[in-house]
Amino acid sequence: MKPWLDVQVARISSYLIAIAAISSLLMMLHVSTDLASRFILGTQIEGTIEIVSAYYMVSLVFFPLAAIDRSTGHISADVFTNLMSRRVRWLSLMFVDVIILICMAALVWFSAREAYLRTLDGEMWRSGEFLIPVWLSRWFVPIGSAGMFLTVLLRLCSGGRRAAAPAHH
Amino acid sequence: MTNYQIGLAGIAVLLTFIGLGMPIAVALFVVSVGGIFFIRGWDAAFGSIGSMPFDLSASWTLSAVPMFFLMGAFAFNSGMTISVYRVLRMWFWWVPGGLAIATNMAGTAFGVISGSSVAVTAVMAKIAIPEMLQRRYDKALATAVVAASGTIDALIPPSIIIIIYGIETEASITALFLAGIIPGLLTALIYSIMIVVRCKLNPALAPVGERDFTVAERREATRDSWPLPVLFAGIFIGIYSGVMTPTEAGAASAALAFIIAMVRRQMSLPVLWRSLVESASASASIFFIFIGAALFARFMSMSGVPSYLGNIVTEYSPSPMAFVLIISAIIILLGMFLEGIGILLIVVPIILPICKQLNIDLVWIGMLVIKLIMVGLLHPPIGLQAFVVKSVVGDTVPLMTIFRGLLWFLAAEVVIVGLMIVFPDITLWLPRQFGHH
Repeated sequence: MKPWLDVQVARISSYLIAIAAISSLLMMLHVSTDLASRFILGTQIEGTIEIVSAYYMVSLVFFPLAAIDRSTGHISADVFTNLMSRRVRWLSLMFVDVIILICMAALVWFSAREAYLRTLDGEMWRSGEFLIPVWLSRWFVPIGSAGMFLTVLLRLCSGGRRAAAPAHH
Repeated sequence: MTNYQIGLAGIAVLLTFIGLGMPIAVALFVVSVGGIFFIRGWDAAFGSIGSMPFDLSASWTLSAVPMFFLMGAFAFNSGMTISVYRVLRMWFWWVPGGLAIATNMAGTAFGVISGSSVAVTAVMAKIAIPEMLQRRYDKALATAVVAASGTIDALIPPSIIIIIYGIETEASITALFLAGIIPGLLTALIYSIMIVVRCKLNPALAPVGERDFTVAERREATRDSWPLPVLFAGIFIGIYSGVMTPTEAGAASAALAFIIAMVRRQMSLPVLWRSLVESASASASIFFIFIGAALFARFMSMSGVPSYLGNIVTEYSPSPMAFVLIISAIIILLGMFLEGIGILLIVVPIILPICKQLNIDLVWIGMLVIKLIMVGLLHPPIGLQAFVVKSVVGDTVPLMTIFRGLLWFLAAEVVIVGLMIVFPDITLWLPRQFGHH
């Protein structure tokens, strides 16, 4: 059961980071095209700032969270944990994982509630004469956070494997 | 408990959580939400969790970060980094400690194209250290120069840490970019002088090598290193002519790096995908901390800790210089166990109001803080850069030898930081020439 779950969570985290990677490419293309259009044609692509901010950026911030947690880990200081005995370190990292889990659960819950309310409102941002729907990207926050929640939950269920892994920065 | 006592307790809990190995972003998040709960109650604490992460990440200004990361990843993964080192070693082979100087200069030049000093240090450690050791360079010098020169890129534009500082303080990113150039070059220069003087006085440190290339090969290698000046010119002209925002300059440079790699036939699907994933991961890691730090800044502001500390500072040491020295000592201490951007995002919300109160120039103090953070990556007992080098060289060079070599660079840093404090124009002259201040 656990290997199957692990494979599924790994798959979800790799899909999520793939979306973030594509967002990064799209952002480069979109902004460069906008810039070229401004210099060559003298006009800008309407909504560039709004789409970059609300879609590419939010996707880039939240979708890679699970994959980062699974691979190198989020930026942390390992100085003191490396000095601990194996048992104490295991306990310390289990405690840390429980806190992360609570933190991500809160983030999923409150950001999903916010996204739901904004969806009901049909949130839009104005860009010149256009209205750009933004409610959709509100869901990126709970989705990305849920990916990390699942990753940490799975790790906790399998007895805190991170404690045995080599320290990282 | 008064509000500032809650704030001070929050800082203590934050440092404890970080010490327990909690990701810095999560520690900032948890402590801030807890602190706001104690000060303002449930609604204020949890109300901000719902909307703040989206509101902070949906930022046009912040989008410069992933674009410069992407440019660095393209340049790095397509091999532009290595070609720069190769050409520099061909030009500096005759100087005492020539390979060490070339490594140092390469570290500075990589500032233009690198997204991560750790990644560049790791690659330089793989390329430059074996060659220096093969030519019987002193192990301490060979390893330390790679570790130290990897930190110079934080000051050379476009630097991610400078962008983050600019967003945190609302200081002009263009002015900050300009402000970093002279301290960055000064660091490279003082490192180089120190290396040459040491090698001149003690030739056993770096035996003069034999020339192992022809003039035609050097000409060819120099021609081959054209992407770096082209990228630098693109960024410089784009930002300083005022026609591009930092985000646009970042996107244009990433596109330029991509096109250059295509022209040089160094771009493939795996290179493209690796670059995209690397830049997405690096950006998200930093943004996650950024969101936690924004919550922390709100908590600090509610607790009144910055104004409380500001009052203490003005009461006991009215001189801004004394404050700067205290801050320098705190950053050096934090550098013993925290990573660079983490230090920046924790320290800035606390010191920013005090700096404003004492009329300290935000561009100048920013460069000083970033410089000190980089020094923190070099000094014992932690010195992240030393560990990066150690992880590459393995058992060939003991950690203590790397730190012994770094002591010389730390001595050079004392001179550089001293000069930056005593002569603020080192930092502020260039921005002034471009009409800032």
